Amino acid sequence: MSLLSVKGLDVAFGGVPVLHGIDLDVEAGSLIAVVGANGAGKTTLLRAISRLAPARTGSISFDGHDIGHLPPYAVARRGLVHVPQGRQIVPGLSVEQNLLVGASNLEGMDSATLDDLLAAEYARFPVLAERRHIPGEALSGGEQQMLAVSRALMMRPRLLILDEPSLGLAPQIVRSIHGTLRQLTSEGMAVLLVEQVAFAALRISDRGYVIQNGRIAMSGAPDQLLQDPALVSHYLG
Amino acid sequence: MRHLRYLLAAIAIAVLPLVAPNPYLVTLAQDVAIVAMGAIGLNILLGLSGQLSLGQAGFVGLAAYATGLLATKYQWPLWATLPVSLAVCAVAGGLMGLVALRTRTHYLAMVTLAFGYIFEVVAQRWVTVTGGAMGLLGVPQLNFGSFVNGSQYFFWVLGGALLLVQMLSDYVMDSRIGRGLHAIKESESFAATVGVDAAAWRCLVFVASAVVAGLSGYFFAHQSGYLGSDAFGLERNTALLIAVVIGGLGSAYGPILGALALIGLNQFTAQFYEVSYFIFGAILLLVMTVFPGGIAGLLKTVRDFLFRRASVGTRPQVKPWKETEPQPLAAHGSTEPVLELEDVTKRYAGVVAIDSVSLRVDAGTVHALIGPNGAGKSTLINAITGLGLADSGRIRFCGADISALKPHRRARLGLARTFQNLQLIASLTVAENVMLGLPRRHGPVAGLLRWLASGRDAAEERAEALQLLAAVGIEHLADEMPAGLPYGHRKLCELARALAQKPTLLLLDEPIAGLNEQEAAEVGARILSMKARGMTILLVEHNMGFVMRVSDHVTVIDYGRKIGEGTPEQVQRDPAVIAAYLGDAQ
Repeated sequence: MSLLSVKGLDVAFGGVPVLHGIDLDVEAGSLIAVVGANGAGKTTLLRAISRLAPARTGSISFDGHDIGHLPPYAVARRGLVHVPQGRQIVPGLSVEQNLLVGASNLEGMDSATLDDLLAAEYARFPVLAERRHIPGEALSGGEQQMLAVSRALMMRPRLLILDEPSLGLAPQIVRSIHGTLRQLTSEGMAVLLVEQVAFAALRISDRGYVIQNGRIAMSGAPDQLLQDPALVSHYLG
Repeated sequence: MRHLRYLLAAIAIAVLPLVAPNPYLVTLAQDVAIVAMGAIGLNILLGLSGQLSLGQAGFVGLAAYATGLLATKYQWPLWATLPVSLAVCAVAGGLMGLVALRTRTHYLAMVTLAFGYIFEVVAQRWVTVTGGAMGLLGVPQLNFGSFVNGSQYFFWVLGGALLLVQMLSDYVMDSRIGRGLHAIKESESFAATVGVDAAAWRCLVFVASAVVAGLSGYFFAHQSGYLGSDAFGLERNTALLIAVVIGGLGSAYGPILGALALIGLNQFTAQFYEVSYFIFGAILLLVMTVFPGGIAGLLKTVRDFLFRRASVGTRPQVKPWKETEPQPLAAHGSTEPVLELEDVTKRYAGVVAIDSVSLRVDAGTVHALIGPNGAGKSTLINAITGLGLADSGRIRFCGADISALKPHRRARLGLARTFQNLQLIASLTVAENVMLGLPRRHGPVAGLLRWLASGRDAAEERAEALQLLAAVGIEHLADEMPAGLPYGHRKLCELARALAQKPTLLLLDEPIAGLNEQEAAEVGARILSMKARGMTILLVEHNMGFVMRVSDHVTVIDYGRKIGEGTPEQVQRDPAVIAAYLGDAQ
């Protein structure tokens, strides 16, 4: 059974239909990529899954439970954690305070657990340890993206969903962040990755979806998608 | 209709003192008129242009002391003190307007509050001039030498002045001035793109509201013959604000209704002096939560209910677009490009958002500008429209260098745009939103005279707006408010407004985002027909199928640089463009 299962999802934004009949599954421990050009509806899809945007019709179930009526914070506490586009770190808080923002809201977190989690994240991204007392706004774009990923991981998610983590970053930093995501799935976490850069995202994924104008245009094994000339035409007409 | 209304008001003013059962009622009517006058000024300032002033009492006091001092210490006649006291207010209002250009929203409220306080403290402490809290005594009353009938004469003059101020306010609200102020309230940068010089207007509206407040101060000074500093404190500031809000913020007759309610309530609560503030507070809370439109809004609801204005169905269909254009477009004759960018660069805090981009948009073509998220498209559009000036490089429009021009000047030259996030004014109807785009026909004074003489100008403007709405198939929605319309219709309304500007170059920012396929196809057909009529179109759009169908030429940018250009077919096959969108294939 899938960890996340989305069926027949329609989303409208201020009366504007954005997504039409989206079906999507994420299995435990897999990395699923959703790719498409700007304006296709990728961000709205993630916002609907984490309940930040209301769905018009359709169902969203996580770990066998319908989460379509939960408020966003409850979804996050169940282990479905969203890393939004543009990273959304708290600019005035230090790196360490940013890391604690989400995790300290969870039940059953004592300070020893939090310390362990912090140590794990500092080991994952050593640059964050170096800057733990620096305000988040002083970090570079790549470091902010690492901080956003780490902040989400501090909440010990079972499913991490990421909205264009590569946006505006240099290629080697993108490779490093994508590598980290692949690593996480080998530890048993599931990842739903939304990217515009289709080639890079599909190469690290277990399965891919291509969306165009709010509909799923193609889906399947990454190799098959990468070789299909239709992939380019879903971007450039 | 309008003239009848003013005639009735004039008769009421003339008759009231003659039929009033006691002189006290006339005094109350004077109080209402004085508050209403100050409130009209604040209503224009806050209700239309969205600038909150908590220091209006300062302007009332400035004029009151100016006229009072000139009359007592220098024995000036009262006809001569009037222009001087109003001029003092105009200067003070202009200074406050300049301050308002640097502060907005709650900061502006704080600044004006501080001005009000400073004025009150100076009036109280500068005893040698103002008499302080003891007051300035012996200010002559405006009674035309008659002790018996003086109060009546005073009311007539005051009432006449109020009627004039109300007529001016009506003109402002009916005309393009009011629509421009609504636009400023919504967004200053948007106002600039329809040719409104937002800075000058914000400053001028402060001057106007200060002069009107000053006029009420002039009458206040010569009503009682006594000026105490505590008359111009916070209480009067809040009284004006309460009158405007209870009456109905932004509505034409709100200030007068609010002043009536305020003075009436004062009479009522005077009996319960100890709890009067409590009663005021409760009423204000009630109005804000239950009737945010105030008394004027409530009356309108009742009237709509009684007369059951025909309401349009919930989701009316768009009619087929008409092919007739209201006016032939100004064709751009020569072969030089309509728009030419030369090495335009823009940096934000060390990041190069646009890196020496050069671009040439030929007359009578559809030119698309595309690029992945964060490529710099919005920054480039802002550089072209003037909302964000480029750091270096040149921008030429029809041969003229517009690199340093403010956005409203560029709009007036014939550069119109639509917005990715629609910019429709929520407080104006669909037709009025379109009229916002129409070019100015007369200066403000000529406009006022024509408005007084007949309603023809407004009717002509409306007819032109209706034609434009008909051209995009939504003229039956002309009197609806935009917020109630489906998204596609709001988008068409914005397109009609851009066409109203009769642009040489029309910049369409995601014109089909959120539209269904049929609507998108109609917009596409419309773009081609506008092109056929000689208009040049610069298009930003994510739907590539659409871009490739309607464009003659496509420019692709990524990371602030131009990475490709050519015909749609060339761009679709360009490896650099494919890499920009889908990433490196290796």
